[in-house]
Amino acid sequence: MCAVSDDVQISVRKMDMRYRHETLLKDLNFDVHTQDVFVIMGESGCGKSTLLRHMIGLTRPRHGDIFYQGKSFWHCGPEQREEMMQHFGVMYQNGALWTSMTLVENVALPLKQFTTLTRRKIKHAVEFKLALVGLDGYGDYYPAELSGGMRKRAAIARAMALDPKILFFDEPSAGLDPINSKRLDELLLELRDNFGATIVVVTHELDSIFSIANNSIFIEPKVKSIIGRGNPKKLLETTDNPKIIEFLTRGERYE
Amino acid sequence: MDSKKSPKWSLDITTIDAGEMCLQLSGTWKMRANLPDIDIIKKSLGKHTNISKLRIDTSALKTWDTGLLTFLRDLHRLCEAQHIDYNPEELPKGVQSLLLLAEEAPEKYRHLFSSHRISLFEKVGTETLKITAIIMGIIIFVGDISLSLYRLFLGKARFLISDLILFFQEAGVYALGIVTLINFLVGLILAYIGAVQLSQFGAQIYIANLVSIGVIREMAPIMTAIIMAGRTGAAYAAQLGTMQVNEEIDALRTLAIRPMDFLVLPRTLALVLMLPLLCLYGDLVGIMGGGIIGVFVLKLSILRYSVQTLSSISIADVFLGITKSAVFGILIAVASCHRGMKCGRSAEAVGKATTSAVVTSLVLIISADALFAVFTNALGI
Ligand SMILES: Nc1ncnc2c1ncn2[C@@H]1O[C@H](COP(=O)(O)OP(=O)(O)O)[C@@H](O)[C@H]1O
Ligand SMILES: [Mg+2]
Repeated sequence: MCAVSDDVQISVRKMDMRYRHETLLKDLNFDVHTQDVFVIMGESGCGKSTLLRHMIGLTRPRHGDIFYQGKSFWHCGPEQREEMMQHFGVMYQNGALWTSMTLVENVALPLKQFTTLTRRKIKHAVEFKLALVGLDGYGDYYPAELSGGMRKRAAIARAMALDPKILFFDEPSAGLDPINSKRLDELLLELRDNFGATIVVVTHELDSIFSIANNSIFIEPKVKSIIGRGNPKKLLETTDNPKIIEFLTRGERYE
Repeated sequence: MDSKKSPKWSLDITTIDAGEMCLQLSGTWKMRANLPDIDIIKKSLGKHTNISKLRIDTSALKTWDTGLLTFLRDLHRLCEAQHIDYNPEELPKGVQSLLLLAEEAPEKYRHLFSSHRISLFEKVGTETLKITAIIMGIIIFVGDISLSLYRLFLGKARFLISDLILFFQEAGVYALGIVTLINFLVGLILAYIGAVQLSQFGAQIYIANLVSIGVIREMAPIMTAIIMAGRTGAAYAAQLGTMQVNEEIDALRTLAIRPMDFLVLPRTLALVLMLPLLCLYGDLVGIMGGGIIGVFVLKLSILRYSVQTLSSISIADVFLGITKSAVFGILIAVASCHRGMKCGRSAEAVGKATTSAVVTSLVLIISADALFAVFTNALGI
């Protein structure tokens, strides 16, 4: 578990997370490989979003560290961290779109800030990203003028704006209709296959979990740690933990 | 994370005689690599008029990202527009499926008359309608507050007493510091202004009259109201505006709780009841500020100054000041809550609501004060 092999994109080592004086999760160890679709599972409130916040550089872990391609993420200067963060694309659980900008402006902002593309190329790139999430023609809308699911999709488009190496999605398909949810799954696989993206997803969508994930961790708040890991299909076959079985079968599996 | 220089893209355009053009894409087609514009293709299509077929050769293409995809999308559109045959199946599989994902999306009908021009008359008309709508909105809002108050007297208004107490605290005790400072300084300034003039006539003692009447009738009510507009009015607008953004106000409505009663009423009550109290307190502090100058700078005796001050204060003036304060309180509360409740659903809108709450409050306060001056003069108060 300690040697960091070549194709490991993210490795989390001995990480403790806490809010104020309460430890949320402790001694987390896991690896995300390049081009993984890595799913973080667990009941709501167990700390999945918090784990993502640590991984994307918003909250410093209490102990331990995260390594991106072997480079320490938290025991280095803020400049190096920012440099690494430029390769991330993040979709927050509640979208976190900038409410005073239209969708086009939301998706264009990263492009304007971090590339030297011409305005026309930015416009076309933004239109393409919005089309990918099925929001073609909604570019001039403000977030407040969209439905919840549409806002979620716009947030996904924004996360993809720079074709990042690593994509973090916090419950992307919660609130999406089955058709869009399926399109999203397809999109994630295409991004992985074509852009070589590594994708970390928090999701409860069982269909997605089984169809796109090739690796996962399962967080259990009672023991404040990971109680299951690996490909979800295999995990379900091999585990004897009733909690994981219940989660992955919605409690509908009969023995 | 790899920052090594990637090989460049290249694009070769060749024309085969039978009206066919071939594009050969090779190398690395990445967004940041200053990719070619679709205009290049357009240009060379313009040179050869009889092109009816386009082939794309991507056999030497290495890595690519969105940059390639947007280029191909543009190309696709161009071909469609110029009725050129183009076979996307020659593209790499990944490119095809991503382009397909983008096309599949149920396209929204674009606005049909987006290029519709607006005439001057139409502009004037819509602006006028907007302004009347705003004025109507304010009138309706005032009506709603009145109904709320009526329900309060009937005991039917629903709000949290704990909220009300918090608002009293916020608009009262917590404002004491700034109210003290400002009114003290205003009293001091008044005394200084008067001192220069009155000492020319040897009438320093009338500083006491100037300060007490000036503070009680005008300065304390005005200054306190301005402070509260900037402090509490802005806070109200921002709170209600943010609640509007988060749909919290809608959530109250669906519970059949009237936002007017639940949110606006306690805030209004707090301002209307606290402002006169703060104003009374401001009177006291302002007079003290003037007194300090009288006693320490002009060397008047404390006793003489106090007696002069007391003899110059009339109950009518004090009531006038308090009445003004109460009116200012209503104006601030109405302006701020109205702006907050009518806030749009974005961060920017909250900022606008807050700014406009303060500006509106100030304009209303000063205008109302001018009206007071005219009426009190006419009535001889
Ligand atoms: N800013 C915060 N301060 C204190 N506790 C927090 C904060 N944010 C989240 N928590 C707590 O951390 C726990 C995990 O939250 P979160 O990571 O959002 O869960 P989820 O797994 O549903 O994403 C919850 O119990 C929540 O109460
Ligand atoms: Mg969460």
